[in-house]
Amino acid sequence: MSDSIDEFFKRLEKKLREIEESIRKDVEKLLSESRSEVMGPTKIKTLGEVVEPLYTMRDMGDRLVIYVDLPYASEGTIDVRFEDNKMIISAELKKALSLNNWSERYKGIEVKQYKTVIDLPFSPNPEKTKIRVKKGVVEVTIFKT
Amino acid sequence: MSYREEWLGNFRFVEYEEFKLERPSVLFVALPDTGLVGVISASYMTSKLGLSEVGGVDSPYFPPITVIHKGFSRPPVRIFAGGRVMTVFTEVSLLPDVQAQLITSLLDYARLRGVDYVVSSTGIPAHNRLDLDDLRTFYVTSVGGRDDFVEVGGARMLESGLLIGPSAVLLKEGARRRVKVLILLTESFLEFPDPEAAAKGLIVFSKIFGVKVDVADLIEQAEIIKLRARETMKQAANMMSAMRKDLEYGMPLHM
Repeated sequence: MSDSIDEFFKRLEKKLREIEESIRKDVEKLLSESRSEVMGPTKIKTLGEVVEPLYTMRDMGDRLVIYVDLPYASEGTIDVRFEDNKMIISAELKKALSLNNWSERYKGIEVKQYKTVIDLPFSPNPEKTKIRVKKGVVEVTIFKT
Repeated sequence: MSYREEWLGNFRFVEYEEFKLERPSVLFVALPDTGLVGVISASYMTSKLGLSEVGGVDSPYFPPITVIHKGFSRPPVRIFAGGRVMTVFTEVSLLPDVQAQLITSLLDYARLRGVDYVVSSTGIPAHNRLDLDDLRTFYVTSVGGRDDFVEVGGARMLESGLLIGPSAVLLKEGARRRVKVLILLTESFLEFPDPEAAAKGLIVFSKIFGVKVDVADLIEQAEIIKLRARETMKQAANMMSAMRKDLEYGMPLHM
């Protein structure tokens, strides 16, 4: 009887050690991931003369549609160019915006332009590309074939 | 100036001023979500109605953030009140599980405060938002089904679909706690700030509750608001992506 109880506790201890080891490994993995996030190279966005617009991409099967939000941009200055697998979009604001009006921490900073470079999954054929601007949003449709 | 604090779940509710809402009272809740419609609406309405900052919500589960307002330190979730309306909102994107816990505690707070309605006016992503000029507002309540009181405002019942994020938790927990929750969903951009949708939602809200909010300035300043809200939207978009918010575009198989 006592042998079987000893055996039971031995098995229980072994199982607990296994669980403890597994938890320890998981915690170490999580800690190392969070350390690399904290200690790794950081990209801090700051506000300057040029700001990056918000954009989003939709895969519609035969085409890729990219929406770029350019509020307060002067429509006539919107420029969309392609270089290999990259789309470069820029636009001037209707007039320079002094960020000092929003917060005095931004004293002396004026935003004048939007600009961003978007990586595309393929090199687009400019002849199979459509661009339209509506409500301050640029819609770029790139056909895949 | 008074000071009162109470823990509800993992959240510390602080009140700096004594206040009493007139009846029927409305708690307008907004966390960063689709097109920042809720946050833009809450912020605009708070200014337009001249609501006073009466309290805030803090938690060890929030990032270590404090909002400095007129030289005073405030918690990241702020509470404003005046007349019949109380607004609770934050621009800080919280982790999905923290959002869910916060919403649950907010509903408990609403019950303790004797609030008659908890309202969220948020966005519902529209595939063809760019081509939509006349934005539709849908509604769903914690009671469920058609509601004549709400339809007075021009909203139509959301027959079917998926809701993901704070409004989903509000609905489910509101029903469990027997709190009257109304979710207004106005067609909007998903990842771009949408003040136009916020304005439409506020028009419907005004008609339903008889709280006049003139949205002319919101529409006039829409472009600048969008530009200012870029970084907040970017943070919210990351959180929405983690919540698989894009599934709201889809249709459930069984309806």
